[in-house]
Amino acid sequence: MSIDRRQFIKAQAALAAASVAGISLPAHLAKAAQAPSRILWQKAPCRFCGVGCSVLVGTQGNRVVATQADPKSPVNQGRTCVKGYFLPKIMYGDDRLQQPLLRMKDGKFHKQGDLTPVSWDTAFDVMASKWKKALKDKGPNGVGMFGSGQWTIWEGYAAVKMMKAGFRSNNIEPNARHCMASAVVGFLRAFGIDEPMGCYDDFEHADVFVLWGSNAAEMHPVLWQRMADRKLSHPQTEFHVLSTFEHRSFDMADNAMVMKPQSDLVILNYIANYLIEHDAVDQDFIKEHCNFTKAAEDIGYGLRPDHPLEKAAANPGDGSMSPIDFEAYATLMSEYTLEKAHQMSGVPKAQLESLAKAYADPDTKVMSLWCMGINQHVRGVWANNAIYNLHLLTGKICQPGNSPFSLTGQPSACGTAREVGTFAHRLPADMLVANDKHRALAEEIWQLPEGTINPKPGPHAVLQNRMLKDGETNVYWVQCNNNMQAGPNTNEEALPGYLNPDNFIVVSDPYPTVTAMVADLVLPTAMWVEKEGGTGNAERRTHFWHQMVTAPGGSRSDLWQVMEFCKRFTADEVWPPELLAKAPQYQGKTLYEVLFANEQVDRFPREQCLSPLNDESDHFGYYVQKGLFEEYARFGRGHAHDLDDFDNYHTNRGKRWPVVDGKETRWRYTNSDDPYASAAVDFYGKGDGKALIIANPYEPPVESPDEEYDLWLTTGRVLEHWHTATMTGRVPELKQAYPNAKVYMHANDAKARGLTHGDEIIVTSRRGEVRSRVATKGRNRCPEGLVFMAFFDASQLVNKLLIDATDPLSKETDFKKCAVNVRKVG
Amino acid sequence: MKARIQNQLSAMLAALVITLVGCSEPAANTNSSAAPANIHSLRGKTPVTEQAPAPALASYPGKGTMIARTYQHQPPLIPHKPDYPITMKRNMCQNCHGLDAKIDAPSTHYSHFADDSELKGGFYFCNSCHVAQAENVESSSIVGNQFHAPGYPQ
Repeated sequence: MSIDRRQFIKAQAALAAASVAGISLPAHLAKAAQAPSRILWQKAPCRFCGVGCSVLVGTQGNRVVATQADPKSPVNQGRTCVKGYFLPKIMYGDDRLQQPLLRMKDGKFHKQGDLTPVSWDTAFDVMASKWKKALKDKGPNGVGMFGSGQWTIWEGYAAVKMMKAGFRSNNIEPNARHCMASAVVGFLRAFGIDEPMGCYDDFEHADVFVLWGSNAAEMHPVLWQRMADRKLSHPQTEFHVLSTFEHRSFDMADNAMVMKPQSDLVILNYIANYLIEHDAVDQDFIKEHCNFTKAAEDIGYGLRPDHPLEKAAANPGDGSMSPIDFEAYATLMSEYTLEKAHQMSGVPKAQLESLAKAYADPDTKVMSLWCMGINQHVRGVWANNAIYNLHLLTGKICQPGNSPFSLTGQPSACGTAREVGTFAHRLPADMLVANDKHRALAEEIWQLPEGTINPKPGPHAVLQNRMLKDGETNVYWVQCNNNMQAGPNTNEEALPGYLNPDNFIVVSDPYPTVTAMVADLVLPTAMWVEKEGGTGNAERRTHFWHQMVTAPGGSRSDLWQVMEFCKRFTADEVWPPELLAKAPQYQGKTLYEVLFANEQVDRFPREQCLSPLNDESDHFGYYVQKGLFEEYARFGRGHAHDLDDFDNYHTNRGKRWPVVDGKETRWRYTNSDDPYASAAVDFYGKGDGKALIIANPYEPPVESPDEEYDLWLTTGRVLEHWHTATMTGRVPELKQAYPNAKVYMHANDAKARGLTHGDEIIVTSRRGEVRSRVATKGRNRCPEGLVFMAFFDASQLVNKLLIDATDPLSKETDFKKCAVNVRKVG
Repeated sequence: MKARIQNQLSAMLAALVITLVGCSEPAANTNSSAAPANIHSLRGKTPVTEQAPAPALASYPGKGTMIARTYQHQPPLIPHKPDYPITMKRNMCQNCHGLDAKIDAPSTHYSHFADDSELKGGFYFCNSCHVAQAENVESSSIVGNQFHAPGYPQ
C-alpha cells in the first residue's frame, strides 16, 4: 500500500499539472492517478481538546473523506464528541491561506498597507531583517514568540531551541499560560513534578466524582461519557457538581451547588476544617508522607506594578512558603466554619456538609476534577493546592479511584507546553532556565558552549502583550493560536502592541483569524494530518500520527517554518564573540546547522518513516520528527519523565510516561505501578519523599460588581466549538449548531433591565463593550447577579471586557470574574 | 467514476500546481506587484475595536426531516429543536428514538445499546454527539467548505 499511495499522490499532482499544460501523461501514471477508491484508515489523536481521543482518519487519494472514533483507543473506547466526529471538514474551509501575506504599500512592507501575497523567500527576508534589528536594538527580549498547547511535540521543541539556544531569548510562551499555568505551579509546589499522579482509569474505580467548576459535559465530553458509564453501571456513584452557574454537568448531579464567584477557596478550606474537626484526617499518612507549609498572603493580582491594587498589596507576587506543623495548619483552617462557607458561597449548609462527608468517608474513593474554573483564577495556584490538601489529608491519592485530577485544555498542553517546556522560565522535563545545573544539562544535550542559555526567565504571556505595547519587544511570532481573540483586555493591552508602529507581528495559521488580520505578516500553515505529529494528553499519554495528505498551496508546517527561518541567521550574527570563541566550530554556521543539522537531529534517514508522506523529512533530507523527538527524550529519560522509543508510538495508541522498559505508568508515586517509587507511597518529586499540604487563605477577587457595573461576567467555551472556532467555525454543521455567542442571564435580571429573551444588548466593563443577545433559557441557567458568555465567536469579542489580572504566582489570567453592566440596544 | 475523479482533480488543481512548484524549495519570486489578498476573519470586515450588530438568537425548527450524512460514520444531525432534557431519571430523546418508541422517528443506532436493550452509559448523553441545525443563520456568515466524500452529498 505505502509505495502505491505515494505514487498515487504524486501521480495525481502530475496529472493536475499536465492538464494545465495541456499535455498527456504516460499511461501508467494516468492509471495510478485514478487508482485507489477504497478508504485508507490511519490513526491520529483528535485535533481538539486535552482528552486526547484517538480517531481513525479515512483518506482517499490526497483527501480526508471521513473519520471515525478509534475502537482500539483506551481513552475514548470507540466514541468521540461532536467536534471529533466532524474532524474531516476542518481542513477544507474555503478560506484556507495558501500564500504568505505581507502588509504592503507601493510594493514594499508598510505597517499601514494591505496584506498582499509574497513568496516564502520574501516573507523570511523581511522577517529576518526585523528580527536582526530587534535583537540589536533591544537584546534577547526584543524578539518574542507565542505558541500553544496545539504545537506538536517537535514543533514546540524546535521553537524552544530556536529561541532559547539560537536567539538566547527566553521570550517564548504558549497560550497554555492562559489555561494550565495554575495547575502546573500547584503540582510543582505540592509534589515537585508536574502533571497528575492518576489517570483516566480512575473513572472506572471512583465512587464519588466532584466537579470543581468543571463543565466536563461540554468541555471534556468523552470523559463525561466515561463518568456517565460509571454512574449508570454503579448506581451508588455520587456526583457533586459545583459552579457559579448551572450548566450541562448539572444533569448528572446528586449534589448540585451554585456558589458565589471566588468562594471555592472558602469551601475548600471548610472541607479541610471539617476533616480535622471530624477526625477524618489520616494521621499516619500525613506523618509519613506530608509536610505542612503556609503560603505568603496578600500577593496582589499580577497587574502592572503601578496599578493601585499592586501598590496596596503587602507581598505582590510572593510565592514563598513557611514551614508549619499540623496543629498550626489546623488553627489556620479553623476559621473556615460551615457557617462562614455557607455565608460566603451561598450554598446551603446541608449540601456543603454532604460534599465534606464524601472526602471524609474512609471507604469512599473520590475523584476530584477541575479545569478552567480553578485554573483561570486570581488565586488559581492556591485553589489547586487546596484540592490536593483534601486528598493528602485523607490519603486518597495515588490509588485507583482516589485521584485529584487536573483536566487539560489543549491537545498537547501537557505533551508540548509543559513537558517540552515552551514557557519563559522552563526547559524540557520540568527543568528551569534559572537553575545552573539544568542549563548545563541542556547545553550539553544541545552541544552548545557554556553560557549560551540565558538564566533570566523571559516575560509571561500577559507581560508579552504589555511589552509589545510598551515597545520593549519589537518582533513577535504567533503560531497555532488566536490570542487577539483569546487573550484578555483586548483594547487596552493586546491590540496596542500589535498596532505599535515599532513592532512587526507575524502570525502562522491555516486560516485568517482575528489575530492574523492585525498581523504584518501572515504565514499559511499546514495543519493536523497534513504533517506528522505527536501530542501528550491530560493523563500523561504521548501519542503520534503520520502525515496523511499534503497541505494546500504554499502552506507549510510550523516545524518547517521554524527550521527554515533558522537558516536566515548565522551564529556570528546572534551570539557575542566571547560565546562563539568557546565553540569556534560554529563560526559562520547558520542556526539551522547549529541546532538541527547537528549530527543528532539529522541522524535518522528519511526511509525510517513508514509513511509515504513526510514533507519536512523530504525537504530537509532526514527523518526530522524522529531526530527531534529522540534528542528531546534525552532530557527526561532517567529523570522520571521517560518516553518510549519514537517508533513505538506510531504503532500503539500512546503510552503514559514514565515509560520504562516499554511499560507505561498509570499511577505515579506508588511502587505498585511507578518504577521510580520505592514504597507504596513515595512522593519522590521533592527529594524527601514527601508532598506539601499548603495553608492558603481566602483573598478577594480583583474586582467585584458595584453600583455601576452590577453583574458578574464569567466566560468560557461551548461543546460545539473549539476555543476561538478557527476550525469549528468553518465546519458548516458546527457553525449552524451554535452560530453565535449569547449572554445567559437570569430572567429576573433581564426583567429588571427591561429585557426579554433574544433582545440585543450591550455588555460593558471598565475596559470595553460588546454587542450580543440575551438568553434567559437554554443549556445554562445563571443565578441572579451573574451572566455567562462564550468566547468562540469572533464577531463578539467578549475578552475586550476582561481585566488582565492574573494569579500572581502562575501568571494565568482570571477569565471567570469581572464586573459588567448590561443594557438594551437602542 | 472517472468524471467524479476529474471533478476532484480540478478542484485540487490550483493547490497542486503550487505544491509542485514549491516541492523542494519554496517559490523564490517576489511578486511585489500582486494585488492585496481580499480576506477577512470570521469577524467579517468589522475592526477589532468596533461592534457589529448581533444577529438574532439561533432558532431551531419544531419539526424537520432527516438530514443526509455527508460522510461515513458521521453522527446524524438533529433536524428539529434540541431542547429535550437528559437527566439520570430520564432521557427524553429516547421517547421518540428509543427501541420502544411508538412514533415514526429514526431509531437510535444498535451500537449504542447494551445487551439488555438499555443505552450504554457512554452513549447516554445524546447531546455529546448529536446537534441541531439553526434555521436562521445568515448564509453570508457561513464559510464554504470543500470537503466531499465520494458517494455522499456535499
